[in-house]
Amino acid sequence: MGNSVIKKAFHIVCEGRDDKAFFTKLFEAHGIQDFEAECARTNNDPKRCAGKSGITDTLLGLKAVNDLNPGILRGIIIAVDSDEDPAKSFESVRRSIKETKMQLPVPDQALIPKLDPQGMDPAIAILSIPWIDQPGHLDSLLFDSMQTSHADLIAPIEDFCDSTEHRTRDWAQNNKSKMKLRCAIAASKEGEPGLSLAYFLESSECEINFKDVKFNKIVNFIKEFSEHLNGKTRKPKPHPAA
Amino acid sequence: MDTNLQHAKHSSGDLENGEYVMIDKIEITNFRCFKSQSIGGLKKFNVLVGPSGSGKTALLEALFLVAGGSAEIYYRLRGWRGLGVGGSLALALTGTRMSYESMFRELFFGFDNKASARVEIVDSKMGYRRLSVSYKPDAEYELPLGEEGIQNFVQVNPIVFSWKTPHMHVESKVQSKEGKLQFAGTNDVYPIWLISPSAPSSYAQHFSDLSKKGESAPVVEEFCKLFPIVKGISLESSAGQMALFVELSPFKEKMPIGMISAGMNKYLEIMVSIASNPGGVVLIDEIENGFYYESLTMLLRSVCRFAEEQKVQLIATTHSYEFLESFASVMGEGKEQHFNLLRSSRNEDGSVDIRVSRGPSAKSAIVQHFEVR
Repeated sequence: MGNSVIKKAFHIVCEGRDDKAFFTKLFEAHGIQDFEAECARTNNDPKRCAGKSGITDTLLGLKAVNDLNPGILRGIIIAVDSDEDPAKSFESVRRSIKETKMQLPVPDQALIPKLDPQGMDPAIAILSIPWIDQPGHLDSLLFDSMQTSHADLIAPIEDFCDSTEHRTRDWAQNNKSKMKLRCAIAASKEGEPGLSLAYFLESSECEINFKDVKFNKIVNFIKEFSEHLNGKTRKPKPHPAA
Repeated sequence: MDTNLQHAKHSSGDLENGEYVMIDKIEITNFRCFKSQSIGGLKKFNVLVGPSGSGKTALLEALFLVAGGSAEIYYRLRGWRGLGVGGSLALALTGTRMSYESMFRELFFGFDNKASARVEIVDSKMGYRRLSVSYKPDAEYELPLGEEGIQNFVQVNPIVFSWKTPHMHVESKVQSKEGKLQFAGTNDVYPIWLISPSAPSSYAQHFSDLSKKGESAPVVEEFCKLFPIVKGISLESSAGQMALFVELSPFKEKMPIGMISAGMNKYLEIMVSIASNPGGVVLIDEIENGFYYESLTMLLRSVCRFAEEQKVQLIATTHSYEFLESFASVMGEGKEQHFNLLRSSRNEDGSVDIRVSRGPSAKSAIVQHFEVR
C-alpha cells in the first residue's frame, strides 16, 4: 500500500469508492483542479473505505498532515449521503468532527466553514448528497441525472421496479433508488452488465453527463468553498437549512 | 571518558516518587540550521522525521550540547561529523584569527557569529537549562597553536560556552596546555545519552558499570526474552579490549554480540542506555538502522516498556515508514497520549522548522498511510 501524498489545497473526504470516482469525474468535467477526493477509512481497517465510521480517523490523519506540513491543505469537505434523514446524517458528521477537536462549520448546518483563528487547522464544511434538505444519496442523484442521459431506460426500469412491489413494498426509498441505478447500469453495459458503480463511474466510457444541471448545486458548493478560502468571495451563500 | 553520555542523574527520590521528569520544551536560536525554533509539549516518546539535511541530527546534537557542561562536547560532536583531528583535541590551525573562528562558524545560523547561539530546554522539574555560545568582543586571548613545543600564538576573541540553570551559571572557555586544547566546565550536567551512527559506542563499559552495581539483570532479562536463542550476556576481554559476548544456544563457546547481529547490538545499546540513565533522556539518531522489519514492533514494544519502567524520555529520528508503522502500533496499545511525531523541513532561507503532531492524529496519519515524512 503506497502512501497518500496530499498535494492539493482542498480535500473531499467521502464515504466510498463510488463517491471518490464521482467526485474525480466531476472535477474533470468542471475544470476543478485544486481538489482531490478520497474515501474515509478507519485505523482498524485502513485498506477499506469505511463510510461515515471512517470520518473521525481520516480527519485526524489529515490534521497530522496539516500539522506537519502547514499550508498545503487549506480546506476539507466531508461529503456524505443524506440517507433517509438528512438532519440525522448531518449531525452524525458533526459528531465525528467534534471527536477530532477540529473546527466545526459555522453556523450549525451552514456551508460556511469556520476558519481557524490560529490558522492551524484546515477549514471544514459538510456537503450532503443529494442536498442538505433532501433525503437520498449518490445513487439517487445519479439516477436522477440519468433521466436525461439514459431517458430510454427510465420508464422500463420504473415499470420493472413497480412489478417487484410484492417484494420491495417496504423497502426504504434509498434502497429502491439503488436498485433502479443498478438496473440502468446493467441495461447500458452489454459487455459487463454486472459492473459495479465505482467501475462504471471510473470507466472512460461512463455515460453519465457530469455537466448535468442536477449536479450544479454540488459543483457550486465546491467552487464557493475554495473561492471563499482563497479570498475571492467575501462570503459564500448561506446554506438553505441555516 | 564517556563519549556519548552526559552522566548525571535526577535524584533517586524522583524515580521512587514515580515522577517522570521530561523535557517539555526546546527553544533554539541562531544555532546551526535553526534560526528561531520553539518546540513545546514534548512527550515520553518523540519521533522526528524529515528529509535528509533538514536538521534532525542537529536537533539531537543541540540537546546533547545543552545537557553538557564543557565546550569539549562541541569538539566531540565535530569529530563525529568528520571534523575531528584524528581523535585528538589538538588543532591544526594556520595561525590566523580566521582559521580559529572557522572552527566555530558552522555553529551559528547563516555563519553569523555576531549574535549568540542559544539552546534552552525546560523540564517538568528543574525548570530551564540554557546554553549560550558567543564571542567575547571585549576580551582578547592568546591561543597557542601548532605542535607541542613550538611557540606560536594567535590573538582571538575567545568563544565562550555558557550554561545556566536556576541554580548555576558556568562559562567554559578554550584553553591550551601542552599542545592540547583543554576546556573548563562543570560536572552539573543534564542526564542525556545520544546514540548516533557516527558516535563511537561506549555501551560495553556502561554495561560493565551496571553489572558491577548489580543492575544489569533487567537488561539481560529483556534481551533473552526477546531473543530466546540467547542464554546470557557477559563482558569479556577480546584481544585486549572489553566487549559484550552472548551465550548462544546450542553453542558452548560465547560469541561477540557484534558478530551475530547489528540489530541485537543496537537493541542492547538502547537498553543499556536506558538502564544507565534512569529518569533521563535517550536520543537515538536513525533508530531503525540494523533492525529487521518483522522484528520492529516487538523490539519497540520492549524498548518503550523498558523506557517507561526507567522513566526515560525517548527522542528518536527515522526515515523509515516501517518504523513509523511499528511505532504507531505500539503507541496504539494505550500510549497514544504519550507520543509526538515531529517533522523537520527547510525553508527558503535555509532555516529549519520543526512541526509537531500529537499522538492520536499522528497515529491516524501513519496507520492510514498519509505521507508524513
